[in-house]
Amino acid sequence: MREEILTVEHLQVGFRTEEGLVQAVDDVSFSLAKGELVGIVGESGSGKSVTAMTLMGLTRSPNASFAGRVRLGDLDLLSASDSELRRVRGKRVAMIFQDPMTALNPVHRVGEQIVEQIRAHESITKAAAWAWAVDLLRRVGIPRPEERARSYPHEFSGGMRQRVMIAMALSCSPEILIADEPTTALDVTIQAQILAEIEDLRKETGVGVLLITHDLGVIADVADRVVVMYAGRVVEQGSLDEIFYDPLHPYTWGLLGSVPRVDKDRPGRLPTIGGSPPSLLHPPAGCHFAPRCPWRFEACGEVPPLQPTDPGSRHHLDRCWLGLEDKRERRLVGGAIGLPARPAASAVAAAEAAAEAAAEGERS
Amino acid sequence: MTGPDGAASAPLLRLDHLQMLFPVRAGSFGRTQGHVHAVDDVSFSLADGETLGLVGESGCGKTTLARCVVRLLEPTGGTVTFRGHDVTRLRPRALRPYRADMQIVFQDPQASLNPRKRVGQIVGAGLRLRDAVAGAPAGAGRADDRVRWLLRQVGLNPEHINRFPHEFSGGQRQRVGVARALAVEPRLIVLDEPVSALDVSIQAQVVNLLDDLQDDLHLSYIFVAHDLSVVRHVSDRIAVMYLGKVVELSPAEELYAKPIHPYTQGLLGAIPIPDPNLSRARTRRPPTGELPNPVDPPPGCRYNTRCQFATEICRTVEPPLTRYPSGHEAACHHPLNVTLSELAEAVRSPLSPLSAGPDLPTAPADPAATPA
Repeated sequence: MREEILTVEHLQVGFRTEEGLVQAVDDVSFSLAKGELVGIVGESGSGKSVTAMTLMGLTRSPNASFAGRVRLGDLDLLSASDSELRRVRGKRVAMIFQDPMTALNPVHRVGEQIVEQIRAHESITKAAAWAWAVDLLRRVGIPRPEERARSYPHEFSGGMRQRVMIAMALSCSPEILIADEPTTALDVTIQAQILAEIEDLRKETGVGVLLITHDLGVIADVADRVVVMYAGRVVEQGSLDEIFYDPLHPYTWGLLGSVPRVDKDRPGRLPTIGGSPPSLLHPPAGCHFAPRCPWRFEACGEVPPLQPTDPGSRHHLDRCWLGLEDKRERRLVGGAIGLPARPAASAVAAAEAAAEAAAEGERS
Repeated sequence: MTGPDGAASAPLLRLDHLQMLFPVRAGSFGRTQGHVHAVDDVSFSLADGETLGLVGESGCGKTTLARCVVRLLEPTGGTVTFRGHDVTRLRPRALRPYRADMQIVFQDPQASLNPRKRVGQIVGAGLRLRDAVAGAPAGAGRADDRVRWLLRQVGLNPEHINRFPHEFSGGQRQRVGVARALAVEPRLIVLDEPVSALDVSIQAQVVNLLDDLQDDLHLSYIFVAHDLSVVRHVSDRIAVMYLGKVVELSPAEELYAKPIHPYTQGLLGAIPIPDPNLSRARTRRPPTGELPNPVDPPPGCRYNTRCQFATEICRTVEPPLTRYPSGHEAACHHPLNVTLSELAEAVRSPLSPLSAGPDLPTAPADPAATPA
């Protein structure tokens, strides 16, 4: 039985800029249960990090506007006061970032930084907090923790620094851990170690994890449920197996198709998604993915609702106008899930090439 | 493409025992306390039209090696031979004719493009310089035509010639970097993590572009990357580096099917597979621990501190690069995925480091070895 600890309903985050309003997050809804790992996957600019930072109240600014609800127990994090948020941050919701070097203070010993975090939420002595910090460092696999607690961040490798961040995040036994691209800056071998660490902690402490990443391999490795974001919107969400084996949104197909694989024969060309993501200053009307989608049709001029396409699986939602049969047929490209090259675009390119050849001929 | 050893005909590029040591200075007098062994006795060759993938974790020396090849760094030892000429110690003026033939594309397109110059100026700079060297009249209009043609080659709109780098997306900026490299009609392009900073769907576009350009313009590539999944799609051969040494050098597909060095196997095993069922079924043994300090690398095989198969010999004798019958080379005393008959036919590779021990491996690794 899922015991929901965090629910996000119709979250909207906009930023007023000199050029106009950037709707970074546009109607995002999902929930996180105790002990669950939800992966949010998307490319740069999809709004995944803004979503995560908004949960912690880190996007608040005079130029930001919010709508919707983010509920942590009976507290609404969007409308919570700054002092309420301070009690939540680090204590109930902890966060680790992509770059542990900039997230740690370079002029303080790592032990002191963990002690500071503990003492912000618990009334215990410095000595007790220090012992606790050393214990946490040992817990996350740092060798010789008594000694290493006295080291400065620059004396650690990238992987060890990320372990320190995890230790710090865990110090007050939070209900939720938000990990924003925690392994992106690390080598694959270290990435595997850090992911294993997060997995162990989840099993041990029952912390709910929100893992933000652009890497579908990482998602396949650790997630229970997946939220796929594109240009500020959730385009599909469902269980891990639903997203990987029964994906219903063309963007998800493209994403799955374009990951280079080491476990399969290499294709002649890497499948791609044509074009690039839209500017959120001037997003296309209707479905945001339509301009890049080879399967777009008239209906795509209107925003599709996020709803189940398959009546059989109520929790598998997607935002696409195509019918279920169409989707299951069209997502296959040469036997594997992917997006075909856009027929229209190749015709355009061919015409351009012909014109180009003619122009070249004139010049020479 | 040539044979697996890449040296069948005269190679375009040859590295012999290349070494790059960086001094570590400390104290108020800046006395040298030791050296970072960034690249330590690396040899290989690259044939005309070939792509060599260069892979390893951060700190393994792959970027340093790439920079030595194009002489952005002065190697401290060994030689770089380009088109049959030793270019290692050439002075800047003598090097100039070769510079146009060897170009480099950097990882971060944001940092490697001057934000105050227009794309036309960035891409055209090399053109104008080369024309100045060759003494040809540098007609601005002619250069612009050429820049427009280059932009079209890399899939950008030629009308954007007057735009600034910040007006492009990351993937487009990387295309500008490629266009700049192409401007002077090079034979060899060193690609230093060209797609690492890009999103997956954009990565694939740039990789395909590089593939097309190679076919059209008959280029050779050295493709540096930190993981094995992207290089596979572009490489004819792949060299795996660890702590300044090449530990394995193999035809691309062989490396994935039959990794010989335990480090390569570990790297492959650490790559997450975007398929939940396969991911669950897989028993992974990614390398434990971290890269040792390159100032004081471990004696013997440099991987011995993290290797589950390591024995006494690994801790004392540096393994030579061993060439197996398939053309696959690896520096390991306890090779994986080789049969006894392959072992019997194996020979010491001429690319072996000078400090390597004399003996070739005699037996394959013991699969029952427990993780160290």
